[in-house]
Amino acid sequence: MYLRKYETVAIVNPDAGTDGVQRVLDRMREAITKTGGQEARLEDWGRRRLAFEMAKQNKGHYLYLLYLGTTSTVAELERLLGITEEAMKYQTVLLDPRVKADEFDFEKAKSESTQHARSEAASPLFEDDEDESDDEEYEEED
Amino acid sequence: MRKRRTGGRRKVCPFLADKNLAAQLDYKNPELLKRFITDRGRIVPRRISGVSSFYQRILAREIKRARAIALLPYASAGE
Repeated sequence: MYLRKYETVAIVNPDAGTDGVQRVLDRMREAITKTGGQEARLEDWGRRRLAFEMAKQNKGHYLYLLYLGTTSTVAELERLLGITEEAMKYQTVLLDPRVKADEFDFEKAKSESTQHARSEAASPLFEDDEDESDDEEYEEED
Repeated sequence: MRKRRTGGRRKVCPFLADKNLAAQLDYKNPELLKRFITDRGRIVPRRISGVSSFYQRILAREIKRARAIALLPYASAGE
C-alpha cells in the first residue's frame, strides 16, 4: 500500500504548559491513527523564540512530527489542530507523494533527527499557569 | 550603450559550489537561511548574492516556509 510522507510542525502556546503540549500531541496522533497513517518520528524542539509575535506570545513550544498518511490524514490533523486552542500555528509539508508503507524504514526514520531535536530547551518542564489562551490563529502552506 | 561589468569577479552560487550546503537548504535550518535575508527580513536578490536561479527558487520557498512557522521574520514594514 502506498502512503504519502508528511511532516508537520505545530507551535503550542507556551501558556498552555506541558498539558497543552500533550493535548496537541494527542490530537495529532489521533488524526494519524484514525486515518490509517503511521507515525515515524516525533521531535520536541522545546520552547523557542518566535521571529515575530503571535497570539501575544514571543515564544512558542515547537513540536515536529514525521509520519506516513493520506490526504485525509492531513485534512483531519489540520482540522483538529484548528480547533485546538493551544495550537497557535501549524504547517504541513509533503515530503514524498508515494511511499511503500511496508517497505518504509521506520528504524532509520527514527534514528535521524533535525538539528532542533537536540535543542537545549527540549524538555518542556516549565511552570503551568492557569490563564487560557484566547486567540487562535492558523495558517498553512502546502 | 550597454555597460560592461568592470572589474570584480563573477559571483559563484554557494549552493552549486558546495553540495553539502545545498543539502542543508531547508526551512528547518533558519541559521543558514538567515544569510540570505536582509536585516529587515527581505530575501536578498540573487544579483547580489550570486545564487543560481535553481537554488534561488528553492531558497525562496524554504524562507517562506520558515516564515510561516515563525522561524524567520516577515519583512518589517516601512523604510
